[in-house]
Amino acid sequence: MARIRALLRRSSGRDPAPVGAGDLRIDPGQRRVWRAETEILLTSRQFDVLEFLIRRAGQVLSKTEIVAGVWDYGFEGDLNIVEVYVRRLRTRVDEPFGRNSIQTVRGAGYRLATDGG
Amino acid sequence: MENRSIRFRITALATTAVAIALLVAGTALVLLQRSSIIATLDSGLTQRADDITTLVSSGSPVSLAQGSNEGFAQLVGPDAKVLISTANLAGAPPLDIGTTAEDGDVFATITGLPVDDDSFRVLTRRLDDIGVLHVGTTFDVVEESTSALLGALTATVPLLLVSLALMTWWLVGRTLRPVEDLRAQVAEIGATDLHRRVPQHTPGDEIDRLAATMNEMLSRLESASERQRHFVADASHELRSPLTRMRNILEVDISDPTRRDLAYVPLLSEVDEMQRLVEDLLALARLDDSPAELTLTPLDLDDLVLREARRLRDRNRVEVDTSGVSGALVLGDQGQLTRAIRNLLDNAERHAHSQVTLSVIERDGMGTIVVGDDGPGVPESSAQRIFERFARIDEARSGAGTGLGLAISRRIVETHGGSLRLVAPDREGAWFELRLPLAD
Repeated sequence: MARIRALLRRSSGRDPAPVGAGDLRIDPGQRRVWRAETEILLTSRQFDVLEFLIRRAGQVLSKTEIVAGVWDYGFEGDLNIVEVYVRRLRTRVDEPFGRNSIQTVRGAGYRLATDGG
Repeated sequence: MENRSIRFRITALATTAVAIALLVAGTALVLLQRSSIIATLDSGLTQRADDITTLVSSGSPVSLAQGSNEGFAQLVGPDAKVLISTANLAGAPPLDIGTTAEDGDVFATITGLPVDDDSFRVLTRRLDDIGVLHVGTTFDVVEESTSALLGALTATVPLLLVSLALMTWWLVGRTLRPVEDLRAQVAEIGATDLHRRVPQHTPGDEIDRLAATMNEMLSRLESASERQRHFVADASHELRSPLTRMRNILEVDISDPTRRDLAYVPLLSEVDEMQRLVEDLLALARLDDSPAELTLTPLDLDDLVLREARRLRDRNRVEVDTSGVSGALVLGDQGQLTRAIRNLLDNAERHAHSQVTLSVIERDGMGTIVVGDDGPGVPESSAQRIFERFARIDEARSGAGTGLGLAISRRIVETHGGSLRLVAPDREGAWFELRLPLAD
């Protein structure tokens, strides 16, 4: 499924070239993540969420937008799933490095700091 | 419960036996002591009576000036007149001890003498031609030593019994502890870990022999269940190929318009059914055989559940409510967990009236999936049996399933360190809760 989505993204003209925010970098083609020189292992869905945030670094994104962008438009789960994924991502990409890249914007959503926190 | 135990019974028995023995011995001791002191008193009295008899018989004037609370003497003439007496009986009437002592000495223990309130041991002797001689001495010494002995006994015997009971309790407990350990260990060994053995400690003693016997029994059980598993695995493996060939033949025949026979269509679904059954049997046999062969990776439970939910929606037989699906990250074998979840969902679909409800959350350090249907539910009496192999609860819940799905799911979840159970539903239908330890 993830592979199909990745293929779809590529065919729809998305850039598989590495993108980053500060020293937090991802390679969408290989689906790998680094903080500075340290590689971070993420599940496929965690990677999707991080990629979505990094591609929109600096923007405030609501839960609905994140769900719509990462899961299918037909997502019928609980919107709180975004909180769970953000919490997990923070324990992977921020907390071990003493950083704060994924910020909560009260009442609005989440924003990934352009400088990587 | 505890007072039915061997430990309690042995302690009670030993304590009661010793208590009875001590009671008998104590009583004998008291009686012996009394009679020995009385014998000493009596011989003293005899001595004194002999002295007085000698004096009186010699005809010399006798004076019995001596006399105190401790003793007395009185010589009564044939006319019932006091001839001589000790000072403490001066002026007292002749003693009446209820005997005339026709032959020999008579001993008696009496109270209410004019000398003192206490008891006295009295010797009465008839002196020919002179009268009757009474010689007495205090009985206090007997009562005092008896009560001293009784006091000592009542102080020590209960103490002795209590310490005996405690010691027996401790000793029996100590002796039986290995038996209890053994019981607990055997109780822990379930059908799935028959390879375990109970430890054997002191070689040659009774408990060691019990442990050895248990281990032999476990070995026999293990090899029997291993043979059974291998047989099931081999049989289902062997059944696969002929079934696949049957299926191929049927499919070819059905697709060939010249040979189309409608009877083949239901036959094909029966073959399908049998294939599913054989696959399930094989899966279970393999799970039982090598539960450790898991490839553990971090898995998003929500992804697995949503994917299986989509599969269910595509079949379009029931509505699927996934509004409670949030995220949960667990460590697991993707293929196995997918199978566990799929079985649960298939089961729910089969028994649902019109809707299946799914939720995923992280709770108490566990990734928790709840699967519910709006069907007839599981009667409480069958709640335990529903996870057994080939469990067919009743007509209402039996359907196209193999009767192995839930057993497989539970087995998979348990090998992942999780649990799968039927939760008491406050709504209609059957609600299952699958819990897996969270990753990290």
